Amino acid sequence: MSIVDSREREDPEPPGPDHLERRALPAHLHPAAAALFDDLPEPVAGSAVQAAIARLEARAAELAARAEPHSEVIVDAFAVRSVAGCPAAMAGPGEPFSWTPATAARTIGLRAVAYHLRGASAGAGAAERGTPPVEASVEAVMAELVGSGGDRTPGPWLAALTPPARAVAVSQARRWAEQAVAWLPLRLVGPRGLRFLNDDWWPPRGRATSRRGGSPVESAQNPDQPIPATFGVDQPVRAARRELVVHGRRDITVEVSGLRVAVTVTGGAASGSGLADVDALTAFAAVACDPKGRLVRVVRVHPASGEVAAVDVTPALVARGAEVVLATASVLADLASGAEVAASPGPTCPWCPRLGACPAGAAWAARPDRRSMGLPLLDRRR
Amino acid sequence: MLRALRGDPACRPAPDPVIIAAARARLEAAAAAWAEAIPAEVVVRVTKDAVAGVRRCEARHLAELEGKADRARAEGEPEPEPPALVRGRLVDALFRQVATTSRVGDDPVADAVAACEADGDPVEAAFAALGPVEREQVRAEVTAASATLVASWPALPAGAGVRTQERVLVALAGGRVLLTGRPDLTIGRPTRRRAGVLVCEAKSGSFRPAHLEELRFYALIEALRWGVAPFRGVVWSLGDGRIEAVEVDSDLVWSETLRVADAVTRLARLAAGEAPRPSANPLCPSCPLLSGCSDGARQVALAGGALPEADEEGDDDAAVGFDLVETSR
Repeated sequence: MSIVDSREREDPEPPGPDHLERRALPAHLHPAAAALFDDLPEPVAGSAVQAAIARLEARAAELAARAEPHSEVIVDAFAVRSVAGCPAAMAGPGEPFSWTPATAARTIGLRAVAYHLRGASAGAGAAERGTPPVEASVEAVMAELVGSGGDRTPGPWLAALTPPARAVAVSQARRWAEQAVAWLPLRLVGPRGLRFLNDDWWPPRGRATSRRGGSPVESAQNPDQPIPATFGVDQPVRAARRELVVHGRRDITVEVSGLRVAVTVTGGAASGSGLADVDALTAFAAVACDPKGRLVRVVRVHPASGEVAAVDVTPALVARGAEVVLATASVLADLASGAEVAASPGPTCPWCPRLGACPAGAAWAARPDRRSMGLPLLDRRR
Repeated sequence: MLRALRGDPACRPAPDPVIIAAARARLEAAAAAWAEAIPAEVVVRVTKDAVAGVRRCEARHLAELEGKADRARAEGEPEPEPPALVRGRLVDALFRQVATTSRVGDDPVADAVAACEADGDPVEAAFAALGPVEREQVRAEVTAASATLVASWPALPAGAGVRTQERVLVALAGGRVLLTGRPDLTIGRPTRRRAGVLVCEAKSGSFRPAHLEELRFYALIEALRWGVAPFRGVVWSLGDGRIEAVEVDSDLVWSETLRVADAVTRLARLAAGEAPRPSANPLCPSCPLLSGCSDGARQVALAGGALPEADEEGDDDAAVGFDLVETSR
């Protein structure tokens, strides 16, 4: 499958400062295009997915025995990356979630991208449809969130911001949206082929949907709160014991000829710790939630570095995803039961909130061979 | 201002993927020379300041990092920041606000402080720690800069693709060396026929030639990220009102590649544990290592100055800094 022709035909370019250029990017400027469209593999067989699920279920019983009754272990991208970094850093109560310009940028920016591409909000009439620029889309999304966003959206937080703080929120959301529009050739895909902010919660709880999304308005109602789901118990889903919840997440799902590619726009560089495990989690959650197994590729786009990382969904990746879920859940269960978890001290130790209670981290932070910017410092006090 | 930002659209260069590929190859080679000797968990961060500092004098660059690290972990009250740094943080926040909303409230300092706080930058304490005279001076300068920003920053066309403080990363040697930068403002995107990105820096003080070096560094990392160089870099010095621009072409990209590759080699060599090499330079008279540095002393003498009296701390610094036998691989 190639997009050479359509790439040349579509992807009108937003203007630069002087409105001079509206032509498509050359192929070498859009590495994400090949990752999104070229040489998509066949979906994995349902039997491979079921085999991974069966292995997960078989080992989940052991997790259930270790977990506190009525407790719930949620395995999501944050947990996977945290465990890959330093499991001990997750011990104890974490910082409660709060909206900030940084945490709201993706929620606002993603909806703004949808508005920008689709022409108007989901509720707009045909007369209002058009192609608003990104900055206008961000303003529209923020106004909508302030006007009708629920408690779980950034709406109430936005409404309370002072003008300078709101400007910071606007600038960060704009930057997020501009980067997504710049680095993803989304105009090559018909509006029906794009889904925004899909969350995969597996397994589903009755009608509470394993796959949400398809509409940014609908999906943004509850962007960060888990839908209760159950796993690894024999009782019906309404049973009190819920041991394991798998949460996969993708910013945009691109559908081409019935095949789906999960796309996330990620900060930092493509070589970040735990990112490959998150890819596996995303793949497992998506195929486990979709009985047709249409997700065939997971793509990460890193605007800061211009890197694009793509991995095809294969039986091995799905199996790897199940292993990542189990490994992460095992650490989380240990932490929940108060068991000691080995620390992995490293360069982030000096900033860890648990540094005072972590001998390994304190030793790392106090070691004599200190570095700054990667360079060894000459400790004058020695 | 809009003319300064645009330059001459007819003169914008075409994308030159060959020079970008050559630049990346040159930088990769510079990083690879020492990458295997860098400890496994270490990432060498190459910023615009690191490039300038390590090329000026490796020994002083390390000494300055040491000083910053000591101040960061000092217990008790932190040392007050220099007023120029506090002013710069506040003006950066105002520039972002003006570029985003074109507006500033009646009290620009209050706006800037609130914006910094919202962004996780606790500048209020640094501002409060200034002495009364310095605080009022910073307030006056920030207020004047705000008036200039609001009066002069143009309304950009819709869809201009404005990004404020966008982080740029270029990983070399498999991520062991990282070129990093965060320009104040980036506008536009590359297009098929011509470069389409503009990098803009706002400075709270007066223009210095080093600002152009910063623009060249940003131009290079933007070029490596996109695969196409920006067409222009602009620095707007609010202290004296100067607007200076650099036109970015293949020659500039290549010359900057050589400068940064030299810095990458030096930084990677230092990260691998090799001793720093002192270099005489015009800043030697103010160097904390001067009293034990023969190169620095010679530089001062050539400039007609006298060596300052060495105090005990200076002697210690010198002993550390110049037990630094130059080695080569």
